[in-house]
Amino acid sequence: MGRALFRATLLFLWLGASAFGQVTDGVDDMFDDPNAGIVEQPEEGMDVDALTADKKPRLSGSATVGGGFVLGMARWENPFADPGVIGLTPFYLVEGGLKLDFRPASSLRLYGNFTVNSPYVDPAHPADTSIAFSPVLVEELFLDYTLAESLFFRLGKQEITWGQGRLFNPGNFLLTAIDGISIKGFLPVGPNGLTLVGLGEGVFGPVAPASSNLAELIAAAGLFETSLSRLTLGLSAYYRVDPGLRSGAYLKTPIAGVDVALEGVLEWGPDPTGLDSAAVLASLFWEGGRRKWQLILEYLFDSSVPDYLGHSMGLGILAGNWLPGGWKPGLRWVHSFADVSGQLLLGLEGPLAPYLRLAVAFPFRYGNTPGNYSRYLVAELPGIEYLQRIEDGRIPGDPAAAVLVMLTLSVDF
Amino acid sequence: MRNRSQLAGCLALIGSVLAPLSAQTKESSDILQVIDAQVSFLDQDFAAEYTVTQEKPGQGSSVTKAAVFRRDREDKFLILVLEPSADKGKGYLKIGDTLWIYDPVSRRFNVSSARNRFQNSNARNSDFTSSTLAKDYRITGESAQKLGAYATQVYELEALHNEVSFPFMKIWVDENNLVRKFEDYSLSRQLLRTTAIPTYQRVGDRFVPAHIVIVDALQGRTVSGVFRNERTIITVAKPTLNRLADLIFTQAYLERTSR
Repeated sequence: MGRALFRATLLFLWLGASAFGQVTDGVDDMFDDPNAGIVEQPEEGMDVDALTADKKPRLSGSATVGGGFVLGMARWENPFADPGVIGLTPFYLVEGGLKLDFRPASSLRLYGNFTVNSPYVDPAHPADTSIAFSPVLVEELFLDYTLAESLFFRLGKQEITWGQGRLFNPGNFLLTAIDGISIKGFLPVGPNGLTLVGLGEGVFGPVAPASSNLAELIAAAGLFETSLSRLTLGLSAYYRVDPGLRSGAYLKTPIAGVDVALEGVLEWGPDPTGLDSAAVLASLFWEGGRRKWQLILEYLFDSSVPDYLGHSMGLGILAGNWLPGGWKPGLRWVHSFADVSGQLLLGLEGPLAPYLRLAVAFPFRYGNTPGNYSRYLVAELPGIEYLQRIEDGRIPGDPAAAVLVMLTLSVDF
Repeated sequence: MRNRSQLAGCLALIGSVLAPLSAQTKESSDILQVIDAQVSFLDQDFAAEYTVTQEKPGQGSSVTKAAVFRRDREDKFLILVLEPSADKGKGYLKIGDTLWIYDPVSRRFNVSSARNRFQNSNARNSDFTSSTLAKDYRITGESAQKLGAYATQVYELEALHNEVSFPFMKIWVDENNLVRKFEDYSLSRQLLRTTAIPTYQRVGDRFVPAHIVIVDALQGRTVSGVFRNERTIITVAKPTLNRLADLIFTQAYLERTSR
């Protein structure tokens, strides 16, 4: 005890001295006491189970009130000559969310994420006014269960993201899992493991499922991942009566600090004897710098575009939280070479005052709508997903170019 | 016939030159293996709580708390960030030569490098793995030196491949074969950082640092006319050698624990 106190005192004095600029690199001073070099193991070891168990349910949530305007231009040609081409549309938003996280034992967890928001358009009555509150929406509700500390299951309404793309993601076979009920099981096999998913798709989606036949709503999927030295390999497959069988494979490795991935996806359709279409994705992702940046560069080939013209590319740039005042800019540009169409999204978000944030976005679109790039386009770009949500939900008339300004007052609890 | 004897002579000459070199390499590897063995847990799992305090002169300090799990025999480790709350649930999983970083917000795994900085501190991800000096370096110089109250052997090391964080190192090793001080150098032999381990804790028949102090030789700021280096202090608490579940060293574990 005395030794530990002496050692701590020495460390404190050394750090304290350096804090006053008397020491820059005087680490040798720390070795003056020969008896402080080795201490016995403390009696109390880390409680590993406590990391995954908490007897008390945790509730957290957020409330957001905001508003702003969109100054939009319907088309590029003669914007000032044609009346009605340029329009100013104000909007508002009120959102509330509640999350429940309950871990009564290290092998069991219940998680739920519930939201209410306005404006809301009931999918059953799309012509009604949107000045209304949604019912309580279950964003996610699942139960985690670990069997014998080796088999992990997640059961319920859950988001599952597969695939290697961040801008285009043809390998994300389970995109609609969030609209259904699924059972995901993970088994450690080899260096990584095997994930199996069974799900009832589209049960809670915005559009009613096309079939009421249970067998036609059920999908099954599997993903096997393994590592060979610095190379990660993955094989995946998905089947549902309609759209049929899909299979994929990817290779991923870091090269000079850049995360490089190559992924191929085959869509066999309901009749697996013939190939319907194929997609190839090459992805580069870099995150680094003393001031954190994320750079994403992706190339996509989609064989469903005739005459082998389905080439698209995407670029994403995101800054970390290091700009003065906490401002965070982001950019996403996607372009299809087949029909010379694309989207450019520039955004900036930051705090104006405690709880008060300003978001400014400049979405631009050119060429066909939807362009050839849109088939595998990821809806959200990490870091500026708020802009995409606003663009999806609140920009009226699908303008070719717009300026969006939004002020939000938000509190988390 | 004459050609054959010339060839044999050449081979003998090459052999006589290479033999001592090979012996030196073996000796170098043996020394580093003994040093590695003192802080490696090849027959047991290891877990502990790490507190990483990053001090940036003039900008205050930040604290990251993390749970670290190691299975040295399978070359695996997992780091789960517990604090600050903004990074809670973030995780690092290393299996063999691949290191993933898990982002709980996007629920994605990004491949990273062991050379990268841990949580923007002066520590590298490689500082949390088992010691692999024998695999990564060879000894190029040796001398005896006093380090405070300790009689140490100082070894100059050169990297055997370019997958390491630093191409050149100097290590101060005490009579228990514990490294007390590291100096890490760039390819141009510029000092990049100095690491001191003033205290080890005995865990089973092996050792784990109790405190690690890393001083960045390049990063810092002049405050009140004095240049002050950035530094990172790592405290290792609650070490345990209890067996860990296989599931801990998987991506699924990070998904399960994130909030």
